[in-house]
Amino acid sequence: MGFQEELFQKRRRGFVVLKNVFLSGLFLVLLALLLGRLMYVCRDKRDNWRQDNFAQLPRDSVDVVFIGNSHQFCSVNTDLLYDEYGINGFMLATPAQTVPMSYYAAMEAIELQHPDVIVFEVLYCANDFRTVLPELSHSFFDGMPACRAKWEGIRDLIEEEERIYYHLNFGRYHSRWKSLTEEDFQSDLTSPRGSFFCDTIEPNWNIPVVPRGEKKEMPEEMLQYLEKMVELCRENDVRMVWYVAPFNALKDEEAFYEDVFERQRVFNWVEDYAQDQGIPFYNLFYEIDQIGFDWEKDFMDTQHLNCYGQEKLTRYMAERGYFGF
Amino acid sequence: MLFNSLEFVVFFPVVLMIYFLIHRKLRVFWLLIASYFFYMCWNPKYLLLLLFSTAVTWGAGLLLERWREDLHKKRATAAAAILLNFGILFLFKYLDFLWHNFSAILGRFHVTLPENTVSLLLPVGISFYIFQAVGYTVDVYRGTIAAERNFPRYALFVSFFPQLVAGPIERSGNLLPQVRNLEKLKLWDSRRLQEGALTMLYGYLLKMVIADRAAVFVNTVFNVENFGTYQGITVFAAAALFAIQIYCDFAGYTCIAVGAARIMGIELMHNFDAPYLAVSFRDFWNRWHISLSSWFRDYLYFPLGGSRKGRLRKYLNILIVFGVSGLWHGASWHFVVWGALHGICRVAGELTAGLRERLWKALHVKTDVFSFRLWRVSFMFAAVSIIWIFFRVDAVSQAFVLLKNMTAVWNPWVLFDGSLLELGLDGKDWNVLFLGMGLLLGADLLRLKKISLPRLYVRQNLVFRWLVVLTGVCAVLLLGAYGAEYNAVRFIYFQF
Repeated sequence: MGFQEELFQKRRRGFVVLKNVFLSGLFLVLLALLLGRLMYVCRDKRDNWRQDNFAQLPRDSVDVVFIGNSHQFCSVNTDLLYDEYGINGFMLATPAQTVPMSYYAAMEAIELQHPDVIVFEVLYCANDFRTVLPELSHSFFDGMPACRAKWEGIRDLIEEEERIYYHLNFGRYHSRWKSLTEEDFQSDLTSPRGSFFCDTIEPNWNIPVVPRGEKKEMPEEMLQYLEKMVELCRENDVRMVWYVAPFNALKDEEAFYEDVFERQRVFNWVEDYAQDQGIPFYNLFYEIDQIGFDWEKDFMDTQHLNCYGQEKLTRYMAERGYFGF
Repeated sequence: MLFNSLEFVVFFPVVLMIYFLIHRKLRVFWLLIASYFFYMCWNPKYLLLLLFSTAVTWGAGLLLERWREDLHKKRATAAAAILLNFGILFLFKYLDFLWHNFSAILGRFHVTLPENTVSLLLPVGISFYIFQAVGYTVDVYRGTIAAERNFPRYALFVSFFPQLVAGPIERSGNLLPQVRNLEKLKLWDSRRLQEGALTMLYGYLLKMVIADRAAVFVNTVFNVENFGTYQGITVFAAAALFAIQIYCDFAGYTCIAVGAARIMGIELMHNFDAPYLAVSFRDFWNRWHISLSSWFRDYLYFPLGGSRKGRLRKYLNILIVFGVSGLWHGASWHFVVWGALHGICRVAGELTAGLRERLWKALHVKTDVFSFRLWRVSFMFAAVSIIWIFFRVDAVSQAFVLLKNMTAVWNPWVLFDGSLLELGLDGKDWNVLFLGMGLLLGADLLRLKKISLPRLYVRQNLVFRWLVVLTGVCAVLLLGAYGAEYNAVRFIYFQF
């Protein structure tokens, strides 16, 4: 074989190798894109679509992030805040978000956005739960993009043998192919600011309140997470605002009222703790009259506000500068 | 570590990556380490058994070659190696069964045996690797293959991880030369890699989409607690679906094993050749679990005399082989009955062959047309499905209860009134199942025409090939049975 021929063969082999490497890479990219889309479509997004939207926002585009549980997203309308008060907020609350979960939500908010203020609804300070139900833990972590908060949160709050299903949650959702709807294929869901809207009306009644002097210490482990949250925000130069939205007993019976009173005593204790830390705290149980709830119209159940109550409370807090603006 | 577990999804690419990158002289060592690690994932202690079996048969192979001219020593060596290996198998698999039955027989004569306190957990894959190692010993004894002098190479032949725990039971004549040639093998062969990957994907589809979906219905109907609930067509449907389940489960495992090995440059034998398109029991056993049935043919049926010692002896040999084959599947009478029934049907098929031929002629039935073949295939599938009931149950008596329930009523309306949709699979699941079975039938028809699906695939255009793989991956991930609330179902043949 002549030198020219040998050179030609060498080049040809090199070209074939390059072609194979390129095609393999292209195939893997296509496969990854397809799987990514498949995972997104199959995921149950009912409770974690906010995190999807949050992850897609440009960095440093949000000033206030709201964290906490269902009471948080039922009480504040971030769309209204932006449209009428110019407050650029995002609702990052999820159902049954416990204090440890809120700590990781704060970490996520700082990691992805670095807002000026984090508004925390403190209802779960009165509960001694790290997590509530696996479905709710999934709804919290599954919408989070791959970030430090997600990694550390799963490592901290989830049993070791279950962790893999939180990182690769397709194993949990793939059987949803039977119940996929048009909404599952949509990328842009509901409110871009994470607002929750519910117009169900259920009459409520006047919420009884314990005297401010009655206090009960919050569970120790939850306090540790609260302290970590305060420290995290301080280290990252993020202001905090805490509040508790009013809610009633599940039923108009004495036993149910006792549970509400116990929680109110914890909120009074948390208020003292917040003052010690220099954090603004708004215990709205003591401002019910000023807010002016319509007991026939403003609640979706005894515990949560509907869109009418939400609008009323949002305006009330915004007009008084409760959100730090 | 199951093929359908997350561990394997990590393990295999890591093994493959290192295998492709290391020096060619290290390939055997690397695959041996990977194979032992794979086996130790079940129970590290049982590696000692694997090592013992390997060492005994390797040493025996060397001695057999040294004493090539001395028949007595050769026989003694081969016998010792075979007895030691089958001794392990007996100890772990059959001792308890034998003790239990012996005790029951003596009990009839009022003799009480003490309780068997030796309760050993059956090491995964023991029947497979011991049969493979014994097959090698016999091959060296017969002089059909030279003894392997290199221990790591021989150890890899016995323990090659894709086929270690559920076969195919490889022959030394096929696998050993490939292991010997591993150093010279050209690993980067794009056609072979694609064929291997597609074979694996097809295996996952069979196991995770078809077998594990069919298992939901089968487990509901065959659950001991539901024995009185389901009758007639429902029981037959479950038997037929179990036939599909066990085929897709075992063929799925084999495809993953064959595909994984092919990616590594090793061709394993095929275990299935469209078994449910068989037209007779003889045909069925030429197509089902080929590596085991050919093992029994070569190392048991022929030594027993095969068909050389008259018809009566031939039939007796067939019955012995099928009885032993049943026992190989498990130390329980229902497996023996399952094997024996196949043996009886096989003998009956041969005995009545002439009679049937005369009958078809007398009735002017054309036997060389599609409809006649379809009838024979359907009849075989129904017969094999019913016999599978003995395989599926835990005791012979349970099989008779199910057969009684199956024949107790004639209730074809269950196929139309939605009753079958209440047994674990909804309408969408049945659609997927039928679609999967359609794919399986198509692939088997191609196989019957000697068309290899992977080879057909690699001849297609790039875009089509990518579409096939992407669709296949999505189908397995979306429709497969796996995940957080799903404990990866073991492959049925792992228990043997």
